[in-house]
Amino acid sequence: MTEGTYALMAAGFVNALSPTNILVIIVSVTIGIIIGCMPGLSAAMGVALLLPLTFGMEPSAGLIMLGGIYCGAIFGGSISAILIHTPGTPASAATALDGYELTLKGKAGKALGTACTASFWGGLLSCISLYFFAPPLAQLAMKFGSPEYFWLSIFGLTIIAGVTTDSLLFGLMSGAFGLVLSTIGMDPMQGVERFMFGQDALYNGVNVTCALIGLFSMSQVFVLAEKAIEQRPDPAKFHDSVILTIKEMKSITPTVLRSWIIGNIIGILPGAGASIACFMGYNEAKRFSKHPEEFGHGSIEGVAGSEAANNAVTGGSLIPTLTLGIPGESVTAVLMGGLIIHGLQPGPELFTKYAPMTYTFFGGFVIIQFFMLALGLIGCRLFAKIAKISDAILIPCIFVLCVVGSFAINNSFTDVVLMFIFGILGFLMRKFNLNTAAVVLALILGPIGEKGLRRSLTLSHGDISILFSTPICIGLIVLSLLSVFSPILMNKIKKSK
Amino acid sequence: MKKSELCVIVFMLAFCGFFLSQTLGLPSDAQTYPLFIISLLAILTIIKLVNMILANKKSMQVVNDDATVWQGLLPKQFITMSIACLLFLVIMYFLGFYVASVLYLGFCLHYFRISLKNSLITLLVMIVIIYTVFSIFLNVPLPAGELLSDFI
Repeated sequence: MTEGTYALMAAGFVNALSPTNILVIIVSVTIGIIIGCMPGLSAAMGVALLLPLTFGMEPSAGLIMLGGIYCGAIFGGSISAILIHTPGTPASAATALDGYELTLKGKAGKALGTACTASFWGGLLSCISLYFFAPPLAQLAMKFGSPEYFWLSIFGLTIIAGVTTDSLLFGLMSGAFGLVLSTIGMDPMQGVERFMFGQDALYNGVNVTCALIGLFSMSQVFVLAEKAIEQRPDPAKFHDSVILTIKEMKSITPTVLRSWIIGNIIGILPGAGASIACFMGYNEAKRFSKHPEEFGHGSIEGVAGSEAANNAVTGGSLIPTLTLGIPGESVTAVLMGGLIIHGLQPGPELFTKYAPMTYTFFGGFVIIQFFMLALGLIGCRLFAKIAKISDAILIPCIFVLCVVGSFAINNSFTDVVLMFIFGILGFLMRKFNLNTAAVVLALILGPIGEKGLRRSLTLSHGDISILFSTPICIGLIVLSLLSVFSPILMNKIKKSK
Repeated sequence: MKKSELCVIVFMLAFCGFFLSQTLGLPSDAQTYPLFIISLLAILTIIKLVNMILANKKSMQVVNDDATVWQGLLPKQFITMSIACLLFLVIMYFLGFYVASVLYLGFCLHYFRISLKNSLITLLVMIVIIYTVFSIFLNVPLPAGELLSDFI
């Protein structure tokens, strides 16, 4: 990295410390923690729901807001996992194992303090890889031409479709379904109306924000509304301190460092996410622990292993999203949608033309971790009370926010209707085991892939061999094939054993 | 073969058929890419169907898994909430966002038997948040409603 890059990093960090950005961080982390600690609400849903709030902001502040919600929600899940034995998000499922046991022993404060401290270190250390791995990867993306962008979009789709659903074929079908939807609107090369059904609002295609809010947030309204409203248990009251002693800090340090590496690698790998990382972090913590017998009976190492790993995913997962435009999971797919809404395309331009904005976001991402620690330690008692809010109150509130959010995009009623349709679609897709994240990603990557394919064919006068002409193309094809066939092979190997 | 999986396959094939018929109405140059994508979806769907048939070749019975798919569904509550959401959109169109929000929130909270005190707090908090964030901060002109816009 050059001196100029270091200067940009420093300037970005200073920009992130502006009063507006600090206010955005405090608000977004608080909202994120609240969303995270409410079982039934996910980080992706929260980021999608609050995406319209960023429209009036500077792109850097908008992205910091989304980042704050993301990190806050991943940490927030641990509060309900520890106090009511119900993980707020799947990313905290492993935390519940030992966190709740500590609560039963009257050490809920210690468990929350460990979760908070480990989350902070996991998130903070993940920023290191974000700072140092993202720019070189973006350099690689500078070598991409139209054929490479076509294959990149295919790779992105295969990876998310392959990993995030039980059935690989259903995942791929979801991606292809999204690709068909992405063709709605004006043909980018011919200027012909495609599948617009007389709706001028579809001229620029399906609005990605409407689709995001519909698929992730509106569908959640239906999911919550279909089941009996259950009274959540009262969160356990606790009187012990949430601040860890130096001895306790020392005891969790190796676990945190190990989980940071695990979480970061999982984050960088597209397709895997925080819910996988927390279990891997937990398992490794147990394997290396001097007291493995304590795991499952209230071990702070277990809590630290899980929480450091899931928060280490956050920074790592932003790397492929920002540099290559391949979001590894639904939250980063929504974040990428936010980036595009602000007129920014993931890729090398983020580190050249828009470098000040990008490094301000990175700086903000570092500061988010500090506020997450402070808000988590100070406010965990209050957040625990909020976690008790009934789904009966959440259902209408989320719906009203979905409506106002989708309307705010273009001040158009059509967008609200579109969001509602995507809400129904998202609900049915979830019911029938289809992959909503793949549809969103297809809506984002579809136009990029289409332009890549059609420009390539125009340049080569219809000669298809241009799509296989460079080593990067071949590499991306191999990766796409691997992402499709590796789960099949792994299944066969498992069965043969 | 699960009934739910068959439903997905029928839907996807119908979806492909519908978009294919629309694509054939486009100029020939504009047909290529949509045809490529529709074919991709159709091929994947057919592979899934073949996969299902091969996995169940001994007994070609269709297993009704409605109970698993719709586990926990309370039809009355779900339909009421869905209709309330639709009515919200209709009321919003005619009477504006704020009137629709108050009516909708009031109805839902009453339906779920939330206490009057908590209902009022929820209503107030939601309206204040939306007004502050969207009307003041983001300057979004929320719909005043076709019937009321002339009076506002």
